[in-house]
Amino acid sequence: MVLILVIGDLHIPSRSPSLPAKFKKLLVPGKIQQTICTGNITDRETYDFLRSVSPDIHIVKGDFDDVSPSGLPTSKIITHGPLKVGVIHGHTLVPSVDPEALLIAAREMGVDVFVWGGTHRFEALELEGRFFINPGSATGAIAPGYWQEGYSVPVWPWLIVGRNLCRALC
Amino acid sequence: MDLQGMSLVLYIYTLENGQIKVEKVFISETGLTVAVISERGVIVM
Repeated sequence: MVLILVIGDLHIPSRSPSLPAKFKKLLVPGKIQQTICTGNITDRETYDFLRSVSPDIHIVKGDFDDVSPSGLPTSKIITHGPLKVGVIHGHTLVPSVDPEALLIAAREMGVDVFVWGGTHRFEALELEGRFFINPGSATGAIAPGYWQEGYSVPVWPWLIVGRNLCRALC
Repeated sequence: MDLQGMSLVLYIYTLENGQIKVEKVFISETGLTVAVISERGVIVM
C-alpha cells in the first residue's frame, strides 16, 4: 500500500505566501511514500521542503516554473505494479477542461490514471476505463481566466494505491 | 475500468474557512465505486 500526495499549482510566492499551515502539519517525514506534483511550485524553497518530506517526488513543469529546478519534464509516467500513472501540468491541453482532450492525452501516454492541473479546481472522473484526477491548487492560488469566481480553495488529494484496499479502508 | 487487481482510494482534503474537510472516493478493482465521506455532503463526481 502506497500513500501518495498529489498536489499542484502552488504559485509560491507570487499568488500565495506559503503552503497552508494546517496542511503543512500533515506532512510528517516518513509517512508519505510518494509525492506527485503537476507543477507551478515556482519557488525552490518549497520544492526542497516537499523533497524532504518525501524523497520520491515526481514533478512536471508548469507554465510558471521558470524559477523551479531546471530540467523539469513536461510529462511523466509513474508505475505502481501494473498501473501506469501519467502526469502533466495541463496548460498544453486545449481546452484544458475538455474530456476529449483529457482522453486523447491519456491515450497517447498509455496510462490508466491521468493526473493533470492548471485549472486550480479539483476534479475526479472516469472516462472510458481511465481515471482522471486534477488536484486543484494546493494553496488556493487564484486562476484568472478559468473560473468565473476567480478564486479557488486549497485542496490536497491523497491517493492510496494497493491491493485489497477495501478490506482495510472501506 | 480495469485496474488489473489494484485498488485506488482517493481522499480529498479541502481547506475552507480555516477547517479541513475530508471526502473519500473509492475506486474498486472492478470499476468505479464512489463513496463520499463529507461534512458538506458534496458529491465530487
